[in-house]
Parts: sequence; C-alpha cells; structure tokens
Amino acid sequence: MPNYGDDAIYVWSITLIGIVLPVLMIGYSWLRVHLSKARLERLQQEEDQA
Amino acid sequence: MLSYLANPLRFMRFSRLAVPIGFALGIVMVGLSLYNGLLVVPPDERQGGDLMRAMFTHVPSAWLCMGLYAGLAGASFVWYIWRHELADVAARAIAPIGAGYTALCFITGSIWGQKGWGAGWHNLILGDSRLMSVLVLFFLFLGYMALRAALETRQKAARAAAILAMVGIVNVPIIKVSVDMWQTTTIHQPSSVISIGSPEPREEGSGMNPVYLQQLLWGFGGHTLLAAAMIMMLMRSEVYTQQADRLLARKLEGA
Repeated sequence: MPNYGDDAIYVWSITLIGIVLPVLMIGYSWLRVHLSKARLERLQQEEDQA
Repeated sequence: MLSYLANPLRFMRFSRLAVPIGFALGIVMVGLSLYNGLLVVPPDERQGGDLMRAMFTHVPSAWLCMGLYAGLAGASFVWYIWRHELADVAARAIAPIGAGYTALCFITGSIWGQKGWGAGWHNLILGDSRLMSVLVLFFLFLGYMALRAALETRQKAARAAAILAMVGIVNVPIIKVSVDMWQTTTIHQPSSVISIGSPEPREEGSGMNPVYLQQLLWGFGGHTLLAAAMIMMLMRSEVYTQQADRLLARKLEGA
C-alpha cells in the first residue's frame, strides 16, 4: 500500500465512497428490475391459469 | 440509433445485451483509472500532492452528474413535445442515478475541500458557489422524483416533472461557470480541464498534465458506461411494471 501521509485518510475515504455508492446504485437497479420482472411473470402465470 | 431504440421492443432486445457489456467495460475502465490514479501516477504538487488522487473519483462524478441532468432535461423535452413514452421512461430512470452521482460529487468534494482548502463544513457549503450549486442540483433530482411520486396519475406526474426538469437545466451552466466567473464567492480551484469565460489569462503549460487527464477520461468513460447500464436496467424495470399494470387492469376489467 502506498504511503500518502496525512492525506491518506482523505484519499482512501473518498475512494471508498466512490466505490460503495455506485455499487449501492447497481444493487438498487438490479433489485428494481428483479422485483418488477417477478411481478410481471406472476401476473402472466395467473392469467394463463385462469 | 435513438429512433431505432425508441421502439420499446427493440429497446428491450438491445438492452438485454448492452447492460452486461456496459457493466463489464465500466468496471474495467473505472478499475484501471483508480489503479493508475492511486498507485502509478506521481503526486501533483500544484494540486496538493497526494491529495489530488481524490480527483479520480470526484471529477468523473462531477462531470457525470451534470451530464445526467442534461440527459434528464433532454428526455423530458422529447416527452413534452412529442409525447414519446420511452423518453418519459428514460427520464424516470435517469433521476435516481443522477441523484446518486450528484451525492457522490458533493460528498467527495466536501471531504477533499476540508483538507485541501482547510475550510470547515459551514464555510464549504454556504461559502462556496460550486458546492452550493451542486447541492441545488441534488435537490432538483430529489424534487423531480418527489413530484413524480406525489401526483396521482402518470400523465400529470410526467408533465409536472418534465417542466421542473426543463427549468432546472439552468443550474448546469451555473455549476460550470461558478468557479471561473464568480471567483470571489468560491474557494474551489478554477476549471483545470475545460475553462469557459475565465477572466484571468492562463499561464503557458498550466493546463492538466496528460498523465492525469488520461486517468480522468478512463474514469469518466467507465462511470458513464456504468450509469448507462444502470439507467437501462431501471428502464427495463419500468417497462415490466407498465406491462404488469396493463395486465392487472385487464384482469380487473374482466372480473
């Protein structure tokens, strides 16, 4: 690991936030598409059975 | 290309392939930018030594949040004029991703500014026109989402939110010029990549070193691909939701 001295806490915290926030957004997008697709498939299945 | 994808069926076919490619390429490009930015390039003494490595996270998010707002306003304009449903779906999908990247830009800028300018939180937010205008952008994204959720019919919500998005575009050039035109109200450094309307002539060779610029462009390209993939995922989700709602409405009519 490189030694950034006094700046290390700032550089690494900014980098960590820069990784965590996009990962959270990817998780949110995946969850949204997964839930809406599951709902559509359930409704289609119910219609097919009726 | 855009008119080809304006058909929801074609969009669903295209996005099924484009989403994983966007994620894969985006992760590689962001990873490359961070690896080189943190471990390979030398510190830049003009920009605070090692502290400038924060730039490889902060600057791509700053460019992207303005680009995403322009995309939101553009999609809203297309829906407002031509009533193209997929444009409304796109606008709705852009808003949460834009809010996320604006939050990223604001948080990382505030942390960087605390050390770089030695300013406390109060001075950073209230005393700096760049950070304040980015905060306004964040509230515009939140306002857009709140307005869409608050109105009872989809058409009313889309119309009101589109007007807000189009009016709010005025904030994007304000963010851009805030550090060059109003130097007395900002502690932010002037634009170092693209400068518009700076009253002070630049010294020869004071632009950004290509070693840093290259990493910034990798990071920006990578985050753009990631954002595009997330937006396409949210658009797919919205298309599924609308199909499910139509199915449910048909079912209730038949009951």
